[in-house]
Amino acid sequence: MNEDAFDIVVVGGGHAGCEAALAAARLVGSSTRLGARVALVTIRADTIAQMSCNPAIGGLAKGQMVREIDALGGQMARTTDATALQYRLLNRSKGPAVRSPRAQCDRHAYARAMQETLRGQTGLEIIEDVACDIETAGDRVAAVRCESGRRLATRAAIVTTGTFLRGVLHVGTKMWPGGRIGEPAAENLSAGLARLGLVLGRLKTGTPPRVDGRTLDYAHMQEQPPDPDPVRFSFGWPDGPFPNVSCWITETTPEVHELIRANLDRAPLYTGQIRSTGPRYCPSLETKIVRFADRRRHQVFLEPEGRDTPVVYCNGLSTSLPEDVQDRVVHGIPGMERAAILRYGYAIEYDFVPPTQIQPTLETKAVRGLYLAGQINGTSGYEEAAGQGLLAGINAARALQGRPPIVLGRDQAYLGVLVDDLVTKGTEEPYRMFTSLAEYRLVLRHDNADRRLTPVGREVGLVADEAWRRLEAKEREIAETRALLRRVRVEGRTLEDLLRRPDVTWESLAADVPDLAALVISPEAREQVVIEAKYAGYLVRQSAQIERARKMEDRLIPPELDYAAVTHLRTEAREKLARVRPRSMGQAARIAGIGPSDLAVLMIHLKR
Amino acid sequence: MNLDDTIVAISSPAGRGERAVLRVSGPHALAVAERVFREDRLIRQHCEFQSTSPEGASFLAQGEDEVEPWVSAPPAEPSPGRGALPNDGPTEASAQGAPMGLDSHISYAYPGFGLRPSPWAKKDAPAGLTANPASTGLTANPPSGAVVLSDWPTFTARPGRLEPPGSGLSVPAVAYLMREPRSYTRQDVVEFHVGAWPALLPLVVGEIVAAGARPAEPGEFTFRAMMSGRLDLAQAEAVMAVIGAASRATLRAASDLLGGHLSREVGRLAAEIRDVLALVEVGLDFSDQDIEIAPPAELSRRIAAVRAALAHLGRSARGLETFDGQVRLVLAGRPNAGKSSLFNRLLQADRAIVSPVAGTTRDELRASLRAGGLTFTLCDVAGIDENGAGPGDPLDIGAKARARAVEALAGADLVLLVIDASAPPLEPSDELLALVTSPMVVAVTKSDLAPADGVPAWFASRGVDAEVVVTSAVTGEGIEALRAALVRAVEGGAVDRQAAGPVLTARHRAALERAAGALARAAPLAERGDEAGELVAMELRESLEALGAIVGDRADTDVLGAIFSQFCIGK
Repeated sequence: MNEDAFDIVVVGGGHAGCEAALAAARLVGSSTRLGARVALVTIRADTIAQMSCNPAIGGLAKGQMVREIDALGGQMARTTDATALQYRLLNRSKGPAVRSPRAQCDRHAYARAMQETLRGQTGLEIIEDVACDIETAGDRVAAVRCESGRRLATRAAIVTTGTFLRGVLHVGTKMWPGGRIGEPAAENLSAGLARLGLVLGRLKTGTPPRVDGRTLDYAHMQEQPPDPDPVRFSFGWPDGPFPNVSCWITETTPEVHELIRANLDRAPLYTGQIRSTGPRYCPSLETKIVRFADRRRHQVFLEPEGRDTPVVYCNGLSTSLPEDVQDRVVHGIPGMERAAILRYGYAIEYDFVPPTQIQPTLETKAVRGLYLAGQINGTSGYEEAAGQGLLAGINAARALQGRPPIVLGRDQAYLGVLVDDLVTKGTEEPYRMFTSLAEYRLVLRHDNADRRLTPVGREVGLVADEAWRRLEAKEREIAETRALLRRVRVEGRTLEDLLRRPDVTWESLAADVPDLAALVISPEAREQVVIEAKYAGYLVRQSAQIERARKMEDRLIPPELDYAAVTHLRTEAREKLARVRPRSMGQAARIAGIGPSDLAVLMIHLKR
Repeated sequence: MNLDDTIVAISSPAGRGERAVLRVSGPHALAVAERVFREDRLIRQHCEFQSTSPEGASFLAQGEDEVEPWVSAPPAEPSPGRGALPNDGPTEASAQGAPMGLDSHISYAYPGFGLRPSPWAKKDAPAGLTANPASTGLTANPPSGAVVLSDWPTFTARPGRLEPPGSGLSVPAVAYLMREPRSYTRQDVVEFHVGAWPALLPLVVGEIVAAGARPAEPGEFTFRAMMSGRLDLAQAEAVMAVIGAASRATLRAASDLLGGHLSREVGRLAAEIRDVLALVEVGLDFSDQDIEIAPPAELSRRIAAVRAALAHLGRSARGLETFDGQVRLVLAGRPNAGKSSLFNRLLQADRAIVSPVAGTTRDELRASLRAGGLTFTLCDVAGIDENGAGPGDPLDIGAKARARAVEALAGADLVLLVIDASAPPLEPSDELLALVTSPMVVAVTKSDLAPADGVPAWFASRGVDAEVVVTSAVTGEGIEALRAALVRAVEGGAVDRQAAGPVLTARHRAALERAAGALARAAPLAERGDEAGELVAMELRESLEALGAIVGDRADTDVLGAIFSQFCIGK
């Protein structure tokens, strides 16, 4: 009785795995066949949806992705909204395109809520086991093998192993295998993936110490209160209890820096113990002190991990220094002199699959039915992982149903930028989303994620009637209001024209125009109308850019093109093109090191 | 356009043409070239390592990813300095493709071949075409015969004879072999350098075409060079300009572009824009970090400074499109001075002798004048009347025409000042003279109607160094003398000073304008601070994209890289 049969097996229960499993089960589970058709295999069911690092969701560019996940019918935004401790809209003083919601979450509540959602999902079975191999039949996935000996026959597998693939933890000179603190690594799956022809690389990441909030002296810290008017992630999710927990800010001191410098000979990042590349945007404290030696202070954000727990996350103190040094570092920071460290910071190295080996559908090029999502693709961040998991779940399900895959464009979603960057450029360090990576940033706003992507989610089958009706109503409101703004004139100028003036706001306009004051409109619809009026000129230009670029995106390259037969390609260009196998001229142009003359050669070849 | 077949063209410039270059490029270059060439083994040993002239095989090596041996090989004799030109004037240097010696990185000769001018290729070129090769001393009983180029190592130069089968002709020539990828096109290339025997060259081309090659389209060698990645777009454009370069001045300007002057300057400005963009982006993407953000006024100031630099670049740059490799000759003078008659007369005479030569790269036909191996673009503008537009000209038509004339004069390489002998005063107005900043040739017209004896003396008295030619468009008097005077003015080097500043094509100028326009919008936005950051970024990206288009490559937009190298990121 070691044989089970599924349509889709998801390996890993992190943020990618959760979205993949839910999307897959929601899409394939509607059949009449009894029993689960989707399985989620995880080492420990009670750590599913664990926030391994900081207890926060969203942030710059990430907040946009969470809202996109929601618009498509994913889960992360809803679970966040149900368990948030505080919200802050980052870049509030800046333009709408770069405003990003961020939430501190109750770490345990989040995991618990997500686990409940998974358990409540029909057609989904959670299996506690360690996946150790992917079995194929021909070029297709046939089964996932587990260390217990269990064989899960399946038509598709989504591998979302996070940091667990041959994970190795580092604290000072100590190093030991593990997937994260307190959990074993997946030691054997790497070899299985390599046997399938996938090339593996290695990355590093790290996490700071956690302290007991009851031992902190907040009198010497700066409070970072929540926004009084929270911007939530989910479109239309009912408001939960008012999230009113503050974070606190302190900073390191020159003495602490000196202490770290004096102990670099025991810092695994500097002794050669850690060789792989970590995230540039999230460096360890020792890296910051070495690279920016003239800085006398670095900020430390103390983020509570929950309402019912004293655990506080020390954002900014990511480190793999030895425990005794961590003690002295923490105690050298104002307000933390008596802090009780509940868990030391550590670094972790893990295997990943350089993502030029996957297609924009997240299916591997090597094996049909094998999808990869999350950190295994070289990304970092819960949001990046969840987005990939959602898309992998959708595409695995659609492939089984014979439907065309969903590939989001760079002009359509941050998730489109994310996937395109990964499969086109690959990555040599943990990839994180930034708004500056999106060339069409002005249209990829958090506030219009529903308008951009709910239609896609609806078509896929993940958007419920209620959400769909909500969007339709919003669009109707927007259209009617826009018509009003174009119709009503004050001193010969339309309200829309007036609204474009930098000094004119909706409120100031409504004070003068009774028609507007009398209008009943939701704040969300109103926001859309105002943004589109104020930024009309730029949005038109951005649309024109998108149109121009689309011409290149529409020039498709046959997937089976033999690049060896394209004479006159430079050797370097030939190798890169053959490795990435771009779907379009547009994608080919984004490959690093591919120049216009390479594209011209390719174009001439294709025309023949 | 096919890139895979073998193409052939006579790629020497038109004009005086003491020598001609015939070039073959493509996979079958060696095989087709063998059909027409006979190696001269008697003098082979003597020549093998010495027979390369400065004009050598005319390709360039730069922007290479592989190390090219000649890039670093020190020349055996002092190499010409940067921007120096071959001694034999523009026609020698401007073979299709790139002339040697346009860049300091390019040595004139192949390594090991020495730099001595080739006695074979130049001084010893036989004076005449011989029907029977055996009848000349050089080729008496030559142990020559069918040649197998494929046995030759690359960078081989060997003397021999071009003998199109069945033609009964035989002409001394030097064959140069460059194997792929170390050639201009990165394909196999064979060049024959011969005396310019007009009767022979079409026969040779015909034979090579019969053997399977295709006559090259205009600019096709350079197109292949660009496609193979040897040249960037700006350099390819420069090559096209060089091909048509009519004077040393033009050649120098184009070589400036080819040498990457524009690309470097644009690259420098793009780097500054990218740095500013990094500052803007860090304020958007890392605003949750403890980073000091550049004040809006500073961003605005830096953006405005780049914009000013771009504008300066545009102003100081010489428009390549204004001469397109030709000498821009503007006819100036009072209204009705006879400029148009002279214009027509010059062109009439010219048209009789223009004969397009296959493989040269005149991409478009213009109203151009060929004289003495030079090409002039004639530009006839409205007369400059010292009174200007009067108040009786409500539509200001006169003023507009005049403005155009002033603009044309400003862009002239050479001005032909036309003076009507029949309508005193014969002296040009001070106003007109002030508009002429280029070298000048004076044509006195309507000599059939009146004498104009005092004109040369007048110019001499004003210290103007201008040759004066008396002409009559009616009788044709002085037209040939005028042509000669125009050529002398150019070849005398007077036109040289016009080539200062980087060279721009119309495409470059449009890209510069687009970039400057985006920056012009960005600067005031930047002053608004926080709220407009994403809009500033959009404009800066547009300017970077526009500048990137100049060299045909996307500008370096690794903004994140710039941010991470400058700022301490990471909470």
